[in-house]
Amino acid sequence: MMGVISISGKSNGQTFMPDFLGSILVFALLITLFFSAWNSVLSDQTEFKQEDEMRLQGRHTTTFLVSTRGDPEDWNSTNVRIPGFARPDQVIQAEKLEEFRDIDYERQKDLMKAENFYLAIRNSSMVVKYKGDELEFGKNYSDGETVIPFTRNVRLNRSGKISSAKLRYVVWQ
Amino acid sequence: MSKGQSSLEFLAMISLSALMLAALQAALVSKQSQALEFQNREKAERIAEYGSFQVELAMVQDDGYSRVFSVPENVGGQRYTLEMFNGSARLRWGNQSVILSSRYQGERLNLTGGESNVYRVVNDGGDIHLREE
Repeated sequence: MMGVISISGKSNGQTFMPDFLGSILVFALLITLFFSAWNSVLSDQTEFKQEDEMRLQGRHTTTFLVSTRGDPEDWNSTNVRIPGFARPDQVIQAEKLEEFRDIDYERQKDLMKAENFYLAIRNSSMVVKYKGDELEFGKNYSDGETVIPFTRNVRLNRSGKISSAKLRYVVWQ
Repeated sequence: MSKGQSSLEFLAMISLSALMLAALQAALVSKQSQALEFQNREKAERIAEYGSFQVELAMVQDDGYSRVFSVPENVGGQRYTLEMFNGSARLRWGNQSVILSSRYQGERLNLTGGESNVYRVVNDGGDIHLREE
């Protein structure tokens, strides 16, 4: 007796593969994580860039303040283009600091190219005084989110008396 | 004679994989280009700031002051031009530019990267000049 071989004319293909769907989901998750990390790095770069700019501007500004006479040479509160307190030979002149005091804060910020700043001449323990006024300018930085300080050793001339001091300059935002 | 069979499912899977790879590649290229643009812009701002600082430093020095400085040859492989005039420093490269504020308010000064990257800034009786070296 011959065996009966039945061949069915109907065969089923597989159009839906759960494991392939799973691999797509894993791939999508990895891509999302990758791009989140990349965006986070870029946003950190932007923040660091702002800090770097503040640091660079602050360094340049302190160079002008303590090492140069400013521009124009005999600048005053109305015609100053670049403030500089040193004259001659990098000796800070207290009179120039008083001239700087007569400039309003907004103009001072433009001249310093800073969003906010604090400037003081200090000796070892306190802010130095000249003609009864403390040599302190700008605004306190206690509320600042980003605070970048600079300190320069200077020689200060107060009415012919020359003493050592520190110029403390802080840019903040 | 035996016959081979290539399934439709396999072709679909290959096509989808290729599509996903193409999408990934496009996104990566876009991010890479964004990062490169950020770097170029940062470099341009550094050059503009540095050039402006050299000129400002010359402004506050006495007559006869002279200083040589060098700048990078290009930004993003392209030549650039730095123009300082009327309180601003503008650096142009390709079809992009950055503008920074400057303390310099005098006559127009130009500096071009690529031709020479060494310049001399001179204070000549209060007037500031910029020359290629």
